[in-house]
Amino acid sequence: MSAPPVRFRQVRFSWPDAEAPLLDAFDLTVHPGQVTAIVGPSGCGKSTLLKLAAGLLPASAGHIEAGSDHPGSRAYVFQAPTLLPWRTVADNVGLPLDICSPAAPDRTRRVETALAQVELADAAHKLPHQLSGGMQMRASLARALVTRPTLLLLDEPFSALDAATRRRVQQVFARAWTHAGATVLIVTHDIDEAVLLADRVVAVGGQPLTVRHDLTVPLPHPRSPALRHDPALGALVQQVEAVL
Amino acid sequence: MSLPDRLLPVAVGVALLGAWQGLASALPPFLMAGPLEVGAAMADHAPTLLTAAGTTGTAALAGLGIATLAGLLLGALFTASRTAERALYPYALLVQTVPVIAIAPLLVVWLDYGWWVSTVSAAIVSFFPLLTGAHVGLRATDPDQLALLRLYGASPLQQLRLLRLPAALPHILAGLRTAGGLSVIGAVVGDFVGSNGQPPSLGFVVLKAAASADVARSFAAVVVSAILALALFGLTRALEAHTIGAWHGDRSR
Repeated sequence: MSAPPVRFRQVRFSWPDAEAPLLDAFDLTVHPGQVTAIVGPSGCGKSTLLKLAAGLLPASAGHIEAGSDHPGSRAYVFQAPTLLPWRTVADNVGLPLDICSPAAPDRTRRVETALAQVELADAAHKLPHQLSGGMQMRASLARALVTRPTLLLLDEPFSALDAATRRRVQQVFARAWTHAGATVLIVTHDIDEAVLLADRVVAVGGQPLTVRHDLTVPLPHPRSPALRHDPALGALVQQVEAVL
Repeated sequence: MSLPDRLLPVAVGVALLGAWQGLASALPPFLMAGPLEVGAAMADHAPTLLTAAGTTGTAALAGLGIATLAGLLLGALFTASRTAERALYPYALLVQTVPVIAIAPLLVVWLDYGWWVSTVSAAIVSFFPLLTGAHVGLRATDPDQLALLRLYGASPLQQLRLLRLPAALPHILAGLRTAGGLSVIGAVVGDFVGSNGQPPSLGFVVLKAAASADVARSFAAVVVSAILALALFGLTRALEAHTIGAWHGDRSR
């Protein structure tokens, strides 16, 4: 199945009891097979966009197109690893398969492949509390990849990690989603991270939320962490910073 | 824990036993029995006390089983439906607030004398901690973990089996630990009112011995009740260690 686009058309969304809507007539198209980063200030509604795309929240009006509704075609990586503490890493990674296709004959192989993609093969039989924060996030990504999703939604997956772990996990994530060939939509408040990882950076802000800036990142993949010192990348970061 | 720390509770225990023995020696035997007399009574009446411990112990365990089932089912119903919770919670609370000693005579009217009075009495006093444990536990599910399961189209039954129930286990087992001790109290209260001594139960032995001013035998049955409650507590701790010990509590921090 090919990677789908994500389209928000005239979308309206309000939290119950909120005075003003968070989104009103919001439009955005995310191109298929690309990595798109959404950046914006904390609390502006970036994560809500992601939850709307995942179908975890209902829009009050408008239309959202985000690939197939088939379970497993969309995957979501939360800000926290959200691993089930009583399941081993391998069983956490296999959880989506246990729900979507409990009798999958290739479950073990798919779990092993997903774990290998995030370099966690050795930790398969450990319990989540035995892993470091970075390893837990990688397990969370492996769980997202195990159903071979065509749309990968990531909600600030690196925000709880220290700087060194963050860079390493970012590289693992970037390699894994390049391999997956999915449409990737990542929400972050870190502009450096957005520019380093994404093909396109969409800066959002205001209430109701609007697109403030739409930037194509003309740098080839794979991108080395050393690129963060590249003046070309610095100039792109400054462009987005100026808007926000 | 250092050696003095380990010895401290032992020293307190020895001091308490000494004080108890001293008090018993100063009072006439029909008023008070010391640990030595209680020990002798336990040895003299070992067969009766063992049978009584079996009768009361099985009533406590069966009551705990009934309370667990009822607490889990009602806790699940309350979690699934706010309306059911609003409608039924006051009555669940009533079970907790009405003293079991007040209900026990009615149990005899309804169930006749025998083991079932102690069992139902044990179930009544054990029920509330288990309901609370199940209710709080099933409600405590992490919203993101639940969203994850919903994303993959998990049915309500899959959500219960894969997430809600295992996540609720620490709360349910904490409720079970509290209820374990209470169930012995409930069973003994049931024995007081509903036991005709066929077979003997701990509550029956306490009453019968007290009526014949055999304070040592009465105390012996009380000590066996305490041992029974401690055994149930140990059983629930072992169950906790076996089911959630690997991922919950000190070791998972």
